[in-house]
Amino acid sequence: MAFVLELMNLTITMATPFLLCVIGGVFSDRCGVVNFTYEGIMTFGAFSAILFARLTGNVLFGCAMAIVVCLAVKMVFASFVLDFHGNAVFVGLAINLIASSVVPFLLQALFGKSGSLIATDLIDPAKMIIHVPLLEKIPIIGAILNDHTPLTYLSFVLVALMTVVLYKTRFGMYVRVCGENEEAAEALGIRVKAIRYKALAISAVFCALAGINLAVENLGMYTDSMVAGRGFICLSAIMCGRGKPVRSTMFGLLFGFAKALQIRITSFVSATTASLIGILPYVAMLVTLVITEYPKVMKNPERIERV
Amino acid sequence: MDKLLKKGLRVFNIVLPVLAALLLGAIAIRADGADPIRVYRSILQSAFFNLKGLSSTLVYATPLIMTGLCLVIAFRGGVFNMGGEGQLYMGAFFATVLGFSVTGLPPWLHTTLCLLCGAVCGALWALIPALLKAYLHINELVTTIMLNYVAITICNFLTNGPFCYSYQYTSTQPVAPSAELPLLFPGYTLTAGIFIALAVGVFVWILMNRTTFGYKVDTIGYRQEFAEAVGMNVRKRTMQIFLLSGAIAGLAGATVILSVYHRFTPSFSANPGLGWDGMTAVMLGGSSPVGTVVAAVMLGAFKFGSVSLQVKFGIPTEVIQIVQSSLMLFLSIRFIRENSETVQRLLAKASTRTGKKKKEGA
Amino acid sequence: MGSKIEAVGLTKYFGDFTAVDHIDLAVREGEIRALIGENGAGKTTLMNMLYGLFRPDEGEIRIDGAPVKLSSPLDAIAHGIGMVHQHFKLVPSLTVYENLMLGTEIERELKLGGRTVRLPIIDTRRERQAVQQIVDRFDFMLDIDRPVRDLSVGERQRLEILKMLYRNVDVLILDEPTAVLTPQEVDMLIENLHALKREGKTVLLITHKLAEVKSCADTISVIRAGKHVVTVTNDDDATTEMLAEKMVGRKVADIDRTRRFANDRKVLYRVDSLCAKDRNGRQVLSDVSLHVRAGEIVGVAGVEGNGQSELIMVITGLMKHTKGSITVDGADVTGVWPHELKAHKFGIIPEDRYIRGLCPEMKVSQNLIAGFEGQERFSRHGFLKRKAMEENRKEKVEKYQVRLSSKDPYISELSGGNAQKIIIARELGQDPKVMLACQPTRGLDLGSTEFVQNELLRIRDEGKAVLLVSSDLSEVLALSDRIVVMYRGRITGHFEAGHVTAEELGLYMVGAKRMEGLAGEEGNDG
Repeated sequence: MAFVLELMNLTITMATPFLLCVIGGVFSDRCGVVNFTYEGIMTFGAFSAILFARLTGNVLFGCAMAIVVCLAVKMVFASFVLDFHGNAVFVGLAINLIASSVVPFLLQALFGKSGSLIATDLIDPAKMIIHVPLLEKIPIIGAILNDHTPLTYLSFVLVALMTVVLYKTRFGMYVRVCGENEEAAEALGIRVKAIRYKALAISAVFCALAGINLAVENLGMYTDSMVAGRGFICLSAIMCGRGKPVRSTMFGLLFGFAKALQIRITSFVSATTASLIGILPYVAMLVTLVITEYPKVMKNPERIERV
Repeated sequence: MDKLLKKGLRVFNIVLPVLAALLLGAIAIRADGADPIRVYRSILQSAFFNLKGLSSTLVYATPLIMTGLCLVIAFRGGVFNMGGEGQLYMGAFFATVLGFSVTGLPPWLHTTLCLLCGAVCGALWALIPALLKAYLHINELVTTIMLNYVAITICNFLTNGPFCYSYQYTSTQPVAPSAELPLLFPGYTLTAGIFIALAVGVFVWILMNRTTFGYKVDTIGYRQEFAEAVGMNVRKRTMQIFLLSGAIAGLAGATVILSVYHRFTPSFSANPGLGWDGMTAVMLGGSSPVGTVVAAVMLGAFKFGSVSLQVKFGIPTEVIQIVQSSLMLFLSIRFIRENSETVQRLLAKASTRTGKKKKEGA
Repeated sequence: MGSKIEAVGLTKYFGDFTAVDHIDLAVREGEIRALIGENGAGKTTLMNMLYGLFRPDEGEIRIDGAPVKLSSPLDAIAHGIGMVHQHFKLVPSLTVYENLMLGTEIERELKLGGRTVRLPIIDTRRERQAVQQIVDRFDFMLDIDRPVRDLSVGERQRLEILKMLYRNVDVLILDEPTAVLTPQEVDMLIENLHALKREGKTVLLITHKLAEVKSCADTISVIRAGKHVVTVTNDDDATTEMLAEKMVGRKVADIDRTRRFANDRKVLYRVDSLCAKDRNGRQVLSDVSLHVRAGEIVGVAGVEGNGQSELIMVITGLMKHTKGSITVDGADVTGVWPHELKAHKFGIIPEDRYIRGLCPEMKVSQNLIAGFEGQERFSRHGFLKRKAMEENRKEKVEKYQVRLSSKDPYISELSGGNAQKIIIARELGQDPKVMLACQPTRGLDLGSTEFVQNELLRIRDEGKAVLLVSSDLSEVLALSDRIVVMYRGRITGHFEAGHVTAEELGLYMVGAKRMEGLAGEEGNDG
């Protein structure tokens, strides 16, 4: 029982970056831009949070700068796609590659290090955890929901908030319209490009938060293998959830569970085998894709399936 | 005149991104306290202007040519196979396994078998996203990228676990000498691998430009609805494209191991990875086999030339990756679009001018 | 009385091509003005300038006598000009009221003490009220809570018109409004337009359908090759013949056709109680049966979206059927793949020319062998015979009088008519027994339309069976020897051409009438 509770608790912890990135990503998905940059932006977010914390000694400033950097990079993506009409897939992949080259370069150039940047002297991950005495008294749920970081709690609030924004506000409606029928939006004077810029900015901020969660809250340091495909997992969560906020975040939770399971199993096996368990979240993602897509294909009456 | 202008435009659209990327790289180099001109000159010099350098350039280019060509087929068939990296790993690993586990074969046979094994394993790894795409319509971009992580993790595991050879250094046993690709000239690093790469190039060129298969691949790449309506089996072709693409990537992996490393180490495909390098080559080469081979050689030169940057100038080699990734960014947009208003005006002007000349001549 | 809207010397160039050539046009307030001309005559370009989509290269636009510069559709709307495009600009997943309010959403207000605070939340209650009000005011029949994807074409058009009216436009431009409507829906539209006129609105109607112009316009302007030819009052002097002549610039020959009732000829194509379901499990084809004999054209009439597309998909091998059978000249072709259909000599002119018919990014010679690339005439051992491709292109281009700008251009450089000729050349190249022609003249100019229609009649006379699916009722009437009507995935009527009027067909097309006991079709098997 304790194992299960711990696992569920860890699921919440592991799911936080997914939830954050997914709920922001839903906006960029719904506004009609193919967005492959989550991976790169999250890397930038994680790195710049630690970098600026390191440089200034102020963790909060580092977090703020992480958001600024992510926004800036995302705006490069946005202008290449929206203003220069670049192929969004290639621009997105290029941004990811840039992240994986600029970050090691800066590490090397500024600190003469490679692989990681430690800031545990500034940040104590253990102190990030909020213990709610009130929750302690509730059985099961208390054990699962207690002892998480601020962003974890915030992520649940944000999921609810952004769902309302997407469905109930003017901006949210415009985002959906831009994705569904650009021409209709343009014909009525909705500035599609501006809406898309804003939607992408939202996604950037949330990616930054995900990065901060990974680097600042969980570890107190940046490492090169930190993001490790999380961005792409978020992308597939959004694909599985068809861009619907609640559904997509549910898939985010699922992948968080796979990640938590991976970590928990690791402690029972040898180090070598443990490294193999690392494929678990990816395999979970592939299986989920198959399960969500299969019924759709079965219902499709077209014989020769376009692929 | 029109054609010339359009061709010029195409060249311009490749040269400009290259310049922009080099400029960004120069800024990074400058920021790190070195002189960009000297750095770039040194890269060029070491990569081209001596036989040793040229040989090494081609060694570096060999896998890039193949990972590039694997994407030429894929992109032209509308398949975004981003899994070149994973297919490469699989091909490389199992070619190595065959290379050291079998002994006593004549060299030509052993090498051929290892290369074939690499190609088959690459294709098999590509089979997963191919099936998912063809039968379940799952976007191959996401699946192939994810499978890269899986492939690398698995290869890591196999190297550290069942096939562990040395505890100090993560690698498998070296392949038997009979499996190694022979050196072409004594004293130079160039191996027969370059011929394999070029043979693949010729193969892809003929396939894409002269056969009904290439015709179908192009048609499917342009418009699937059309292809299926006129009776091409899109699903079957997509599978073939994917498998062929994976096989070439796997072959690239096998070639690289058999000619350079002779043993599998998970870090053989360094950041950003040979698969991604191939993508830069394709984008630079404009999805044509010839262009891709040329671009891959250029990229190979650049990669080799930058190896010694750390020693010579004290700047991190990541600078080169910055140049490469920003090159990809700039290549993904066309600085001047063929149907932009300025170009139309230029075209109009050009045509009136030639028209006038004709009139004057008459 | 002054002009409400006026074009003075309006001109637009596209490169070397003058799309609109110094057109002067003045429309009075409260009139219904029809603007007629062939496809490509420049009507749509002219209207797009009036609507702020294109900036004129020369000339000016005046509203109530004052010159205005329109930089965007929104600008045009602000000046009281609204446009309903041929392709509706609606968001399928949103409801009628959400679509109508798009861009002018009402947000919820909160009274806090004496102050009103605006919340960034859309106030659906007030939006629905406002929309219901305008629907009632103009007496348009529309359920405001239905999502647009469930609306019929006529309803969508009404929504588009209301969208403009809600934005208080005085001038309403309608681009080919009747192209996809049934005769009954056309009547309703004309009624609606008269209602607008009574409210003092000015209507500009772009069309090439003369019959409707005659029945509702006050004045008619004819445009040809970018130039204004003439403007006439719609009276008895303005005969359709006269207008057609002005439109084309020459006398228009009626299609020369003799109807055939080939009851004794062999049945070359038979569809027997075909059923199919869509991805949501809805029955989209129910017991569709029809047959085509050698040497006859059978037309399938119907409002778009009543199963014709699905019928085409199923019989061309692109969609699964759940029941029924299809035969070509006695051979069973039920559920075969498209390439097998080719082997049975089944030619297809697809519905969407640039999606299923041609590949715009490829060259003419390449498009001409599509689907036949594996045949011996074009390849050997998997290698293309490039010479044979060249010769094939030369031969086809000559035979079908395709006009090309260069030797072997990309399809995207061809006009619609020439592109359609490429499809016809390719499909006739295999000497088919049965030809399926779907919307064969959609979007073509009169010359090309004539060519395509004559070609269909010619192959009919050669003894081929032609199945024509078209939403253009006049085309079905003009070409077919027999006509079947589709409504909601069923065949609801079958007629011999010449024995039925457009109005009568219209009643079947909207489901007001249907023949009973049609499941097996009349049993005169050949």
